[in-house]
Amino acid sequence: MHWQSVSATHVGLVRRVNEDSILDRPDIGVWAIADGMGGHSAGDLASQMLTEALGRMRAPPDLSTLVDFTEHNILAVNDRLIDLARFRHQVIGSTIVTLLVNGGHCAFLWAGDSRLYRFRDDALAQLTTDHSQVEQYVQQGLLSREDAQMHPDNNLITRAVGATEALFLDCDITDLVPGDRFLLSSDGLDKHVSMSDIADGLRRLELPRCARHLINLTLERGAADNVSVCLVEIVAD
Amino acid sequence: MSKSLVRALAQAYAEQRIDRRTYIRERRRLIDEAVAGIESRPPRVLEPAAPTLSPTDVTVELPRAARGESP
Repeated sequence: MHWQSVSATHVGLVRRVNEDSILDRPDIGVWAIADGMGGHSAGDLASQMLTEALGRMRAPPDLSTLVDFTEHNILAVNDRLIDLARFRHQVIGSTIVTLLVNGGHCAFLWAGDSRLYRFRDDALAQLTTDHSQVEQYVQQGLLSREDAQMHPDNNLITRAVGATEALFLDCDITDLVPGDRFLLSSDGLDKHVSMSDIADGLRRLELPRCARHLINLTLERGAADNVSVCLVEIVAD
Repeated sequence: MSKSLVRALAQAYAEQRIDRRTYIRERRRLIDEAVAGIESRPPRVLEPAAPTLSPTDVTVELPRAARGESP
């Protein structure tokens, strides 16, 4: 198997600075989206530090080593952001979602509410679970998933790089099948674009057109936040 | 199978039920076994706790009548 990818980002229609950063490295099988926290200054610096650190990695021999290297780099950025925050007397943070491909499997690490989806067999699945206040409400049965989108706490995340000295990244793995399409996205997408809209785009469009389509849908619907997408397709040799 | 084990292990680490060294070692094992197509044994921390007797528990043989059996 091999893979191809495409990515796109837009500042949106409300924010003046794009605090999202994208890493698109099919040559080493690593993709990431980092979303600098909107309420925190220097979020763009935090997200760029993450994607730059991951972009300096070399392709390791196996998936478990790739996971170790990726986590090590993210934790190192976390330490630097904590130090920087002390120096500047401000919190500097970012969400992160990564997709790591090696051989016939992939792993994904994440913190915060940037997401990873997989489109397989005409069905879209969200592979990550948001580290957010509303997700906790949903898990506790206090809020329906339908109501979560409109909840006043829907911008509160419970885990982020730079937020605390002890950062715990979530992690999972899955197999790869030719034809699988993965979507990494910042929360600027899912504020405006439903899973059925995402599935429709992934079903009908080639990767570059699909990326533009998802960004355009977000813009048509107000684009209240920065929006970033990274699409990865697994192709049979 | 291994997919959910890796996630459960990460959650156990986030909840500080295992230390970092154990987490890294067990995560590597689960990923390597999944890639090799081996059915993984759950990490011990994820196994359900064995039933235990408290120090005050005792075993009592009830009289047959009390169990509703005929003598």
